[in-house]
Amino acid sequence: MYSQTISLVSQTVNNSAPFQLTINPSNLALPKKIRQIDYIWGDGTTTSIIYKPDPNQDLNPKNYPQTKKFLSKDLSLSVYYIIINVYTFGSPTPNAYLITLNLSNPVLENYFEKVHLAKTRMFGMDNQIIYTFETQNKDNVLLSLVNWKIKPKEISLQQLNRSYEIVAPFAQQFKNNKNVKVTPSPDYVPYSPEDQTLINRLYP
Amino acid sequence: MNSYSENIRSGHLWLRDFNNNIKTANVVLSSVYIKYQKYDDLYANLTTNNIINFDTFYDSILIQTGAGFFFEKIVVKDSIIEPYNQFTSFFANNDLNIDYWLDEKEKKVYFCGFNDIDGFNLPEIKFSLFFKEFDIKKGIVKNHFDSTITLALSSVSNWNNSNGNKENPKLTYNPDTNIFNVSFIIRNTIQTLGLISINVSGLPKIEIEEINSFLPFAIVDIENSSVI
Repeated sequence: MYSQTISLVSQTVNNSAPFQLTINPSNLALPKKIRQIDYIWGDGTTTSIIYKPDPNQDLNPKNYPQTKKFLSKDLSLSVYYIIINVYTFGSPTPNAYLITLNLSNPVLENYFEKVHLAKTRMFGMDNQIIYTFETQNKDNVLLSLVNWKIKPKEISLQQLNRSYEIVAPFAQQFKNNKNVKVTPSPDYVPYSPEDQTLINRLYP
Repeated sequence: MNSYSENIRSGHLWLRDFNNNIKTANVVLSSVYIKYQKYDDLYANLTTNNIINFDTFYDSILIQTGAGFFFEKIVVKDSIIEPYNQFTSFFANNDLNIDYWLDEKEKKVYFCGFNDIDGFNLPEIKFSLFFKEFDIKKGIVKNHFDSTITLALSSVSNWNNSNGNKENPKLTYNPDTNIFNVSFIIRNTIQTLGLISINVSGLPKIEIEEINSFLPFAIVDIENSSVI
């Protein structure tokens, strides 16, 4: 998983999903003491860090970095708008920060370093094929079931950055080119002349 | 190490002889290897025991080295392993681009691979695919086809004179429909993964029937593509 740690300032972060973002608010230099930080992650979840007086511990919210994992939402770019509201004592209005998180789907082989085709098995009347891919890094085995007879819509070059889930794209994004002209050679020789001589002698 | 890496690296092959001694393959199979003495690179690999792949099919063996591979039907005479016949089924293939499928019912090993070919006009993918069988009963290799496949491309992305970075083909067979399939990975210059699938009709006439592809870096121009 891709990951990055950033300071709490308004900014844009570009990376690839799945992505782990850590926001470190320790850099905040506000005139008054912080009483609460709300992290509105943009995916419907919120994390609130509230100051709790404790003489034995420093429970200032700015000392607690927050980590969140983000997944891709669709085939192309996923955008998350993360709003962080920082409340200080004596002020009802928060200082607001906006982090725009642009997540592209990772290129398959950047994520796994390299993917090799390890085995194939074809079965059924539709000649469906189970492709078994093996990744170079992390030693994962990825299975993909493909029915080449289905003709889905063609993909555009903008959709090249496919999901790290190899299974789904192959079921939906391949192009079918089944009408390639086939011209078999009429005079193909099954055996070499030397072998043919031997065969004639051994197996008349 | 994953299986792909295992299949492209040389190792030493050890076998148990008929006196129950474990010896290197170049000792146990010396009477077989001598048959291939005229192929210098292959024989050098055999005698130094640099073996990439070894497989057995009943009384036949497949030995693959960096210089190529061969099938051999063997017999045992006076506790010595010898070739069954005089046929030589050596295929020089430095790229190791082969895969095989054992037909246990017919006692045949079907195998396919690429022959590298020179010359292509961009943008296109051009390669030569051969398809053969090794008859385990007779110890003979039979050719089925050696076709040149040209996939004309349009709207290509990151494609230059590399003619594609092909990986080893994988061969499978569907007994339900009597169809073989040869599939392999192909990449463009920035290593974007593509996949080509070739259906091959089974006996009585083994020939290419259908080609499909997943090429996110190009669109195949069917009109100008061909199999010859």
